[in-house]
Amino acid sequence: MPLLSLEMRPELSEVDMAVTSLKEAAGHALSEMKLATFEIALSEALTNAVRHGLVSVEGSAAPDQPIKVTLSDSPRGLLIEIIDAGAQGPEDLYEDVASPDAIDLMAESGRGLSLIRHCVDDLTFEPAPGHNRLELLFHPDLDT
Amino acid sequence: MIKFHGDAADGLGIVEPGTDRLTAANATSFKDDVLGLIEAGTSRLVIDLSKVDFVDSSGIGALVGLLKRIGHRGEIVVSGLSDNVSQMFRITRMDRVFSSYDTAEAALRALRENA
Repeated sequence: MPLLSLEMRPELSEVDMAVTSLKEAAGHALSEMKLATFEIALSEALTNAVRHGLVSVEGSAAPDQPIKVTLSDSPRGLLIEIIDAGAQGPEDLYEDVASPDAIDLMAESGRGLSLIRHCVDDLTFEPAPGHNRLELLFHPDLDT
Repeated sequence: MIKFHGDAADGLGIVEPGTDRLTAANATSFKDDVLGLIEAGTSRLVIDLSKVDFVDSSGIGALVGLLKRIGHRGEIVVSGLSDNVSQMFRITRMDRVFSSYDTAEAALRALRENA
């Protein structure tokens, strides 16, 4: 059952407002600690969607194409679906992602995918021509 | 954006990010602002996060970048971490990188004592 659907412009300044709205809508279903990891994964995923969604299939900027986000309740837990209109991502983007423990402590970037993987209970990434679909699952009863 | 309370005489200061979310939207400008303080001679800094509810990987990257820039010439510590921010620090192991204090005042005292 959809709890909240929204569209956001592919701009970094839009991410925080979207995360705050979605976190509020998810608050009833997750423990406080789980909600914290939900916020981390969602923030990183939307930031990635903005960064990658800014490039269209043709390789030109596509700033007018919104990112669609849906939060739903399902028998498996809370689901977040993020669909961007960017260039098709690699199929294996989320495979063999290093755990946060394995990332150089002094690295200034490169933690995003690792944090998403670490903070979700399951993840599906479906890249396609003209859009990428990312689904994140959060079990309500399991703290990471 | 940042708020700075400093003492030019001993190169010591407290920086507040001036936002409740240190994220990709503002991490670069935060880092640039603090780098300006470092270039101006502030070498021992408390980053007071007591008014920050959330830090993402870009915010973490900015803090690490500042630490690398200051290197052995000075020190950066953090203070006032909320439960949310503490969890991000634990997951990214920043709790092993930055000394953390409950309050900016306690952090400042520690920096003075370490001098």
